[in-house]
Amino acid sequence: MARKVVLEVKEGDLTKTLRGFFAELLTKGNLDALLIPLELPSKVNVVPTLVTEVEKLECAVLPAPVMTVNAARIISDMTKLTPSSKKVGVVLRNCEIRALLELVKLRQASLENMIIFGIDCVGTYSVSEYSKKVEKGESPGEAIINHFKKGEEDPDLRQSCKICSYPLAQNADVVIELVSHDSEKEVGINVATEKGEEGLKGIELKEDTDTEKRVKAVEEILSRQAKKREEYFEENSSRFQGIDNLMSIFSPCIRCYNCRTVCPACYCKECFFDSPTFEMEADSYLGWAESKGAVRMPSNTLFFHLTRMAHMATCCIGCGLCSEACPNDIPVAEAFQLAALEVQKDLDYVPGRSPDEELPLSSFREEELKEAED
Amino acid sequence: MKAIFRSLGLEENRVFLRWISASEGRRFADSAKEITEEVKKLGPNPISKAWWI
Repeated sequence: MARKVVLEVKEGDLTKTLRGFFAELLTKGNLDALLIPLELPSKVNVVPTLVTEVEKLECAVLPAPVMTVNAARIISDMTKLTPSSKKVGVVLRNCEIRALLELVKLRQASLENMIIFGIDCVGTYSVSEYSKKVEKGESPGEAIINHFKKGEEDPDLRQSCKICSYPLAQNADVVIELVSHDSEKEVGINVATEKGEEGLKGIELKEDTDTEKRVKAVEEILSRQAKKREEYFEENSSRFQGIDNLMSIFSPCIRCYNCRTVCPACYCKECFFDSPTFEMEADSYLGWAESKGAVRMPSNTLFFHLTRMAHMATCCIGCGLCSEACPNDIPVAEAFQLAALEVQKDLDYVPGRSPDEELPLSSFREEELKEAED
Repeated sequence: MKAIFRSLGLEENRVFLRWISASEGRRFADSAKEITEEVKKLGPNPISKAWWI
């Protein structure tokens, strides 16, 4: 049922072509609104924007070289109370799609009337790196596309992007394939679901004849990224291991909870650490201080991070926004991915791999995890 | 929990996992005794006195 088509790139300008494509969807097509990255008037940032007026798409930036927020959180915020009554096309990179699928399983978001346009991700810069480039007069959008076209890794990319497991868009209603096509000439579009067909109703596109090259390209990229990730953790995991190293990493933690706030998987209305459990009497603190001789304040810093890991490790997709949000540059994402990948391996679960796959902690089988038992 | 401890180089042997039904009272008591002995063998937890965590 999936239909493969191509979009011709005009004047070798990928971003302009994609802008035109989405503009058509709003005007001629079937969509009432788009959630799509727009460049701010100040030009130093690109943010997810809910657009109804097609003129605004002139500042759309795709592929967006910066990620201020995981758009899955935005969609969850939008659809938590009520689903959308209008047809909205949401343009997402794969880590956002994965997070969104998990949030839907957790009943924190609704995909009703939402059509997912997944776009292959070529990586992102940090927000500060992006604005620095703009201020220097460089075009980060062009820089990122150039590195992608040459097939080389951009050294300025966020660490999480460098070791990203699944940068190519999957499980979307419409997949915008940048990889596996010569992006000077064309962009592949895989209309994967009926919803996708609905979203593209009224738009004419040329049929794609070669459908095998995508499969090959996906394999190549996934294995390249798996290797990069393996190498990274081989070289770097010892930095996080053992209580001394781990606490050294989390020494600068000031308990601002930024990491928790930006995390798409942390959806609890009241975090355990904000709950009355942690509203303690003075004598409790003094008791600990007496038994240990001293107690770091605020207390329970390691406990916070380990608990957050225990609560969301099955869902951690490695988007890395936690590291970006940390005011003291703690590599939160690396620590959490280190733990999360181990947990996901034990449970044979990959978050966002399939919308139909049950959450590992919500499903029960009579015989399971016998190997983990003591 | 064990996977998290293992990946971060913390002592996963101090965390025990065992499925026990509410009607398996005997098994629960035996497990509790077993765990206590095992953990005693591991000695005092070096982190218990860590004030800086």
